Amino acid sequence: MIVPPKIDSANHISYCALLYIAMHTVCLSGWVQCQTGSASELVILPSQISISAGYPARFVAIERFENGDLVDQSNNPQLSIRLSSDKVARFVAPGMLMANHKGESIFQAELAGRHATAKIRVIDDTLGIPTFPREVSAVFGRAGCNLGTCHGNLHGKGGFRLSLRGDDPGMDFEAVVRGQSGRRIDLFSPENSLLLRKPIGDVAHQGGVRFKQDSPEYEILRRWIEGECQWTDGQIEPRSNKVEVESLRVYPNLAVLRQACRRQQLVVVATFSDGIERDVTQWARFEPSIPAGVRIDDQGVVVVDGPMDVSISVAYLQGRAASRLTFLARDWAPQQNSLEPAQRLDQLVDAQLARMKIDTALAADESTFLRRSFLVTLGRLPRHDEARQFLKSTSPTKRQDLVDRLICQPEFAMLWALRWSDLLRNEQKVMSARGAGLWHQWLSNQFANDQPVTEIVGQMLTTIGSTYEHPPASFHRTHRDPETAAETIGQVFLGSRLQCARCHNHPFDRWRQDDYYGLAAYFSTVVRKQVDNAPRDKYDKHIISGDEIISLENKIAALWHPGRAENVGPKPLDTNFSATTAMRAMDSAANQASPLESLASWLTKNNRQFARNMANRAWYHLIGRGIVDPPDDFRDSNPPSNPELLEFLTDELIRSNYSLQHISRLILSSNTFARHAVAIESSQDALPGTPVFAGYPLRRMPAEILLDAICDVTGVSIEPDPSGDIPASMRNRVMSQPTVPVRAGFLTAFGKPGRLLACECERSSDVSLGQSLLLANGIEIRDKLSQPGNRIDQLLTEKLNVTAVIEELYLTALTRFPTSGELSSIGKYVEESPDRRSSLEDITWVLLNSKEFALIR
Amino acid sequence: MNGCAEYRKYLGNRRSALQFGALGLAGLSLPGILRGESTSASQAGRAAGRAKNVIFLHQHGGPSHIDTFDMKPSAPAGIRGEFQPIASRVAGQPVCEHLPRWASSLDQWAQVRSVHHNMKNHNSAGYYCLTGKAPPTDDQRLRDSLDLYPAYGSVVSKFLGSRSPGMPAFVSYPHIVRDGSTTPGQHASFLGKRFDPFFFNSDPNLPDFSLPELRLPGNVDLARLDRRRQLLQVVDAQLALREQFAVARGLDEFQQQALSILSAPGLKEALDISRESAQMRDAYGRTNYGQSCLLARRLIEAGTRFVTVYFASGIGGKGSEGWDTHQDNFTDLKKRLLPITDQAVPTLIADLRSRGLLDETLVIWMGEFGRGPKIGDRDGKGRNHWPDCYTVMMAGGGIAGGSVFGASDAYGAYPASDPVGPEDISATLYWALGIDPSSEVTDTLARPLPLTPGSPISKIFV
Repeated sequence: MIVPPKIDSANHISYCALLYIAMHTVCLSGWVQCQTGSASELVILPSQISISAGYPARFVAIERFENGDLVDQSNNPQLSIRLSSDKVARFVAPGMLMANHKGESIFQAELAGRHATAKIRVIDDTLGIPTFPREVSAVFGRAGCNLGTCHGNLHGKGGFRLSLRGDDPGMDFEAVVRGQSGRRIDLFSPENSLLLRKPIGDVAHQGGVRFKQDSPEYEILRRWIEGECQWTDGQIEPRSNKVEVESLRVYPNLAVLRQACRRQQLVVVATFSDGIERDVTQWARFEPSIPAGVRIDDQGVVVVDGPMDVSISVAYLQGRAASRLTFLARDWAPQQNSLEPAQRLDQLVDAQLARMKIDTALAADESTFLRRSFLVTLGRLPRHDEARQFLKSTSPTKRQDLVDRLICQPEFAMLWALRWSDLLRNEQKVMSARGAGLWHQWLSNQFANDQPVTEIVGQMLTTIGSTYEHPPASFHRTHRDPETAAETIGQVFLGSRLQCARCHNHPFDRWRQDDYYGLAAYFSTVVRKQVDNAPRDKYDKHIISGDEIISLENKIAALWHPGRAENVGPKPLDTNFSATTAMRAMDSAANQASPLESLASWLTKNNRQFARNMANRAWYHLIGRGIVDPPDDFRDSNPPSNPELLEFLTDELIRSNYSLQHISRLILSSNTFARHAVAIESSQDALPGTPVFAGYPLRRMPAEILLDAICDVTGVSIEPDPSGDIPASMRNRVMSQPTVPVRAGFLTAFGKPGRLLACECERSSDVSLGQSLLLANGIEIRDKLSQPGNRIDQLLTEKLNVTAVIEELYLTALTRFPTSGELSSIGKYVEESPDRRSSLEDITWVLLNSKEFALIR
Repeated sequence: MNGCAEYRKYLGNRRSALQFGALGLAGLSLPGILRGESTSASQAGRAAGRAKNVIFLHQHGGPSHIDTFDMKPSAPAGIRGEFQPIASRVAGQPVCEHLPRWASSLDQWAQVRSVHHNMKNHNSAGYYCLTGKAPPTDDQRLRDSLDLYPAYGSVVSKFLGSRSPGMPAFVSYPHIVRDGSTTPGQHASFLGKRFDPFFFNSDPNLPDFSLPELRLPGNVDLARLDRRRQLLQVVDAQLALREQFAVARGLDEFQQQALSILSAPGLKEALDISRESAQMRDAYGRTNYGQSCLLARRLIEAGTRFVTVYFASGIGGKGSEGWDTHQDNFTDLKKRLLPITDQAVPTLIADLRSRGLLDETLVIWMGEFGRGPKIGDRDGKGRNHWPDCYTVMMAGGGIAGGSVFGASDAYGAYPASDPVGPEDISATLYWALGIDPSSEVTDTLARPLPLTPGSPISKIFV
């Protein structure tokens, strides 16, 4: 049952009434009659439409309301469209134009008294023979022939192999024209070519029917064969004439669509290296970020089953673009619950929630706020006395005071050092226990002094010498080849996953092999010398037991590029995410003189993507989900959920000279941090898809934090490390794998990363049966519950009354007092139990196994 | 790094257009290179297999193929070795004299005699054979990182789920396979921890075998566990997290499963090997491996879908642990490895068969490689690692008993026909269970990767 919205103006009444009548027909007819008075305008996209012969050009007619919401009116029968002259082009279907003759014209649209215009330009009017790298490759892409599951597979399918997603048209040309002695092509009778008979199902095809005989796909391939299978006009050698997509645009690229709208036409326009601009909607591949409930037809029409916030990645030949479509769950304004926007950050979050008509969660209560603050800043639970003090305080600034105090604690710096150690592969096999400890300590000191992040990174890249004497040089100890170092630069410092480009151009992103090897070449002069390496296991090449000296070889920085089969010199990435100029290629002479200095300078000086990535990481760790999520996957097709918010935080990070404390304080003081978790899955008005931070994201505690919390609750500290290198209290944080086997098992089960990857994802937040068994009956819990002298024994000696004992256990484990209901049933249980200690063991077990305990919430 | 080694190889092939001769030297013939294409073409019409479960028996160290199933009695003495072939239940397929029981049940088995790859170290080869995925390098201490492929059992758990609610889908035991460092390929890796095996590291042949993690402490009886469970509901009811949040629901589901495993008979009973008669336990052999095979049958019977039994933790071969018989190959095989195996494996097959489970349970017996034809390693009586050609045995789950796929050359050194790789073994395993081998999974970088590029050997199925 739909609850009618609050109606605040007469205009909306008729709109809503119509809307409800139209509800059932919307999905079928695909358009909505919207009668909203003067508060809207009509827009035609693209505003300049280029048409070439044989290729229909589409456009989108959008009604835009005052508040920014849209309705796609492209196929509204009431929409009237007029061309100033039909000499140039003609309509072939609603929203679709074909070329007549070269020339320009104006196109006028009208809907319910609103007008819009667009320019039309016909750039060529004769239909040429299809070329391989453009038209034929696009057919393979569109029909899915070159996907990894089909002929794009390493081994091809059925003896026919194409490059993965059309990465190498030259190779595909060879395979089609010359493969298997040319049996796929019949020049004398094109219709008999296997290339045509297979995909239409005329002969058995394991991949099924890909297109019909009367389809444009078929026609292109047929005409191409008829034209004697040329690479491009007059050329029969592949690569003789390179035709590539220079830019790809999708219209609209950002749209918030009214509740009744479940449909949006997308138009994809490519600009080629030969200057041609063409509507390629029909030849593009669309991939939605949400797999279920979205359908996209071959004309670029997106239809969704329900409200959602979905990004559609668009791929056409080498071009990539994305469109973010928000299909609203409702059209009325959200409730901004109780928290006034205290700062710019809140306004940006609230503005987006308002745009998307999403209610925010209520403000979190004090104990939730306290617990959450401790866990994300210090990685531990507040002690019961700390909790009492905070909960008792009546100071109006107590939350801010708490935040200010927490970010100055040494544990705050240690927690950041843990996060960085994870990503920088600070693990003791390569680092040795001593080296790992030293590097961790160095990182921790940097964070404690609030060193600018740019300097921390710069030092790690440029420091050479002994890793024991100069711990930041350890970066070059754990990144043992230029490729691995380049991947970390991309993933950890720029939030970009370059790995695909190691072997081939990235199929979903902008990165090419040239980018990858250019970046890696900066590290090509790094050499490492072991001083006193005596590995326990002489066969294990990964073990470096003593110190290692990092130095730079006196040679030209260059690296073998397997794709080009030649050495390439250092070249920075063109991240192009950025509006600043610092990304431009550096002078190659400077690169050569001191490659690591050049790299550090390019990476950290005025590099907005670096700042953006670091701001996003801070948000990710404190809030629990990135604005770009996963945080190391910035991509055109994985856009930030709130771009303005991300840019604001980036500005703040830069303004504060890359102060992690500043950015943390900002985030921890925000309303987003101060809200309750919001039950996304069950909310009627929720938008599945990208997080917009209407509430605080729930997640399981990380392994080390969970184990420490169990120690704190039971009052049993972990045993000292037999190696004695590191204080027991720090060991889980410092080391990649503690030396006590049971503990390693516990931590591994809860997803402590092995520090072998530069990915946040290596730290698993999964839940598993093994974890539940460990919490319910694992040796860690059993021993701590039964150990003499543990917290239970302490509480028994203190001779507190039952209520006080239960309260203290609750405060320690859950950072809250028991409710009266809990107190009565649990109090009764303890009172009636013949054995007080064993009943308290039960209560402690219960608290440790409760979902409230295991979650950061 | 996933896929890169293969991709490079493929780029290499492409760029050195038609220089197949060079690869031929490495033991591959032109038909071998085209095998992926030709066999997959011939598979087009075949329906997927009918197996529901798998028992995967991994012989760590690398069993000698020449001294077991692919004997070469006419080869020179320095190759054929001292064992004699004996006739088996299948005409024309003799088996080693020290596998008499297996010989008499060979009609249940298919043999793939042309398995080959190029990983010469235990960890890299082991990973290859536990996942079907070629490791990035032939690294003696290949590191177990989350960008490597998951264990077969984890993949099967993901695609087919559990067969019975109280039972884990994937159970593995009684060792962690390692050679200096842990061999990758024994857990769910990038598929996520929910697909990890239920694993234990204890010997079911020990008189007091039971799992501490399933055994409640002495002072916690079922009644007390139940009281705890009731109190837990009181606390969990406060915030109703389970009702609102997927992650809390996930926690809750696994907690329910854990508590029911602790309190209900299901898994505990399945693992209670003492419920078997002494006669049955003797039939499997009173060894770690024998009792592990018996447990495998109990677990399958109770509803586990995928059981992996590791023969040994270490590579061994010096009279203990695994099959790495660099020295005194024949004594170690004759006195220890073959008798243990000949007691356990044929019994498992017969037992599954008599319970009507064999037809739906695929049993695979393999190691990470075979052993070299030339005798004379180390002490002069050993055989060295040999990935260039070896034999994999399969039974049940729709296997055509008595069939043989592929052949080795006269010395058992290289495939003489129908060479296959670990990829094809993995494709066969998935295909037998009705999982499309080219299905995609995503790794930690969200890259879509095929389960395996291999092609199923469907000819050995009925």
